Amino acid sequence: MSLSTATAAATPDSVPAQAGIGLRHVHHRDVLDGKPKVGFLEVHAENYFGGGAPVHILARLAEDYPISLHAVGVSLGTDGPLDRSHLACIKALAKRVEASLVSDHLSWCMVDGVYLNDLLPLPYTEESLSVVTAHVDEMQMALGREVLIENPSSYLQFTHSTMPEWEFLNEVARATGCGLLLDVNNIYVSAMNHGLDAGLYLDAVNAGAVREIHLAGHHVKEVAGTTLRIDDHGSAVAPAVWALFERAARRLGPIPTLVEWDSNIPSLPDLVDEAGKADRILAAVVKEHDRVVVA
Amino acid sequence: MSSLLDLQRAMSAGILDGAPPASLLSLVRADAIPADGRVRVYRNNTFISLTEALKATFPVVLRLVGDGFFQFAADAFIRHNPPTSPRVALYGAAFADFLSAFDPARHLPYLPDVARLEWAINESYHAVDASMLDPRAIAAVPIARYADLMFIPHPSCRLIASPYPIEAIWRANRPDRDGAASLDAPSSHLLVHRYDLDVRLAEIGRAGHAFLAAIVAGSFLGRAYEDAARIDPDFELASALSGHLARGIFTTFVNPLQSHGDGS
Repeated sequence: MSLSTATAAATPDSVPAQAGIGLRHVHHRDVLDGKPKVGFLEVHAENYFGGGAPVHILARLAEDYPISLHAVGVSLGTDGPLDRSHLACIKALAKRVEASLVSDHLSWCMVDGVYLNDLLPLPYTEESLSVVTAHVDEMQMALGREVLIENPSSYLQFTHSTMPEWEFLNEVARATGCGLLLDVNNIYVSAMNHGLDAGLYLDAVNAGAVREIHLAGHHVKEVAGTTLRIDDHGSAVAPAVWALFERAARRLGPIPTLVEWDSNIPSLPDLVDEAGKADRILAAVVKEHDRVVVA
Repeated sequence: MSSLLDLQRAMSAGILDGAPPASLLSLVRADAIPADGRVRVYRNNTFISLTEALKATFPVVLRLVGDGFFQFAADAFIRHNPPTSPRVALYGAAFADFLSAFDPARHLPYLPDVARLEWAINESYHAVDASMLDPRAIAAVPIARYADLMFIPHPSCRLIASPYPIEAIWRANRPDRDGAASLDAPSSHLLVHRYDLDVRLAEIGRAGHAFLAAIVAGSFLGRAYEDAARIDPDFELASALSGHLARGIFTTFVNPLQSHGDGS
């Protein structure tokens, strides 16, 4: 694939193939006042469903930045009906801030009306595939737009899974036409936790479906005398994840890349610095490609 | 385990009560880390994230009881009152009631009311937007007809009554304060509302509280005034109304007894 087609496929109209930051409430004022140079802002959609300051601030920022809405509560993997009013709230917010991207996860968080506020794992079976596919279809229909699906970090695997996660993701994208949001940190965390090869995972994902990349920090924990990596978005991006991101950027071409930080949140300048590292890698990928073209 | 739904019910129960059923564990690949150790990671993540959400909504309760006690209380609360909405910012509606029935917190009798105040502030902050009634809008109504009016409160309006000086306690435990409260006021009757983008608190007194409580319940102004005057015979309708109009706590008013127009 040439870079130009990769760029065209990977970059929706208004989100540049640059690094963006996850906007959290503690940084609202600093972003409004300082207008940091980042490619886009991404927020958790559910935090902006009400009125008052949050949505007012986001609507103002939408005048200066492309906005990506990252939902965490649709629960696409739930074996049961989706909450239509929740989809309607996302749609209304997407319209108000003219959202450039809308995404949620390949996971579930709700059963029988109880929400566990975590990205819970699915068995990768034909049954799960039909549940997720139907829900992605329903979400895209309700919103009237393409939705991106993100690979989660996982800490367990189900013995009755019949396909690897990347195959499941590719199949959902093929069946629904949805895009993929590739979280490179999650690929690394899951691969390390399950003894898989993160590079093989990366190479197996359908590159043409990937619209965005996520980067974040994780921490290492000892469980039963064994190392487990926990995705907590609570630190800088790990060196091994930067290396994997470089590989992803080479494969996918320049692509909107988000740096997320949700616990132990640093100052805005430190967060913007972290996004700057992603930008330098994206820029290097462009240069490499230019050299190839010139040669 | 026959279906994905069964698996999800088993995992949800296992996360909340800490004892994942054997039927679930038999489906989890175990290696150096046993199956229940892997499920427990999800339990930890769930409880940590929900405890953080409660800390963000109840920072003064957190400061009053300390981190260890808060986590202990939050753990019990989450198990018995898990979220029923994907909007985690609105998690904790039942936390004040939970605290009033929570034996280990019995030595802090004012704690549930402080939690009620923090919840009211949180709800007010996240309430949907609505326009404020222009105070001049009722100028056309003769004072003699005020009793027939019904006022519609702004969605951000909340009322709190407590036998404890919870506003003083709350203010003294804001992040920039040392926690020392002047407890002169014997009780609190508070109006919480949003003005522009800021949440505001006003002490409105017992009669003022009865007045607004009646309005919020949908009473005519005349009935609300009677409720207030029973508590305080000197309660002045016109000044209370103009004060609330200036605060912007109404979105509109209607005059149901008038057949033409509603005055708004």
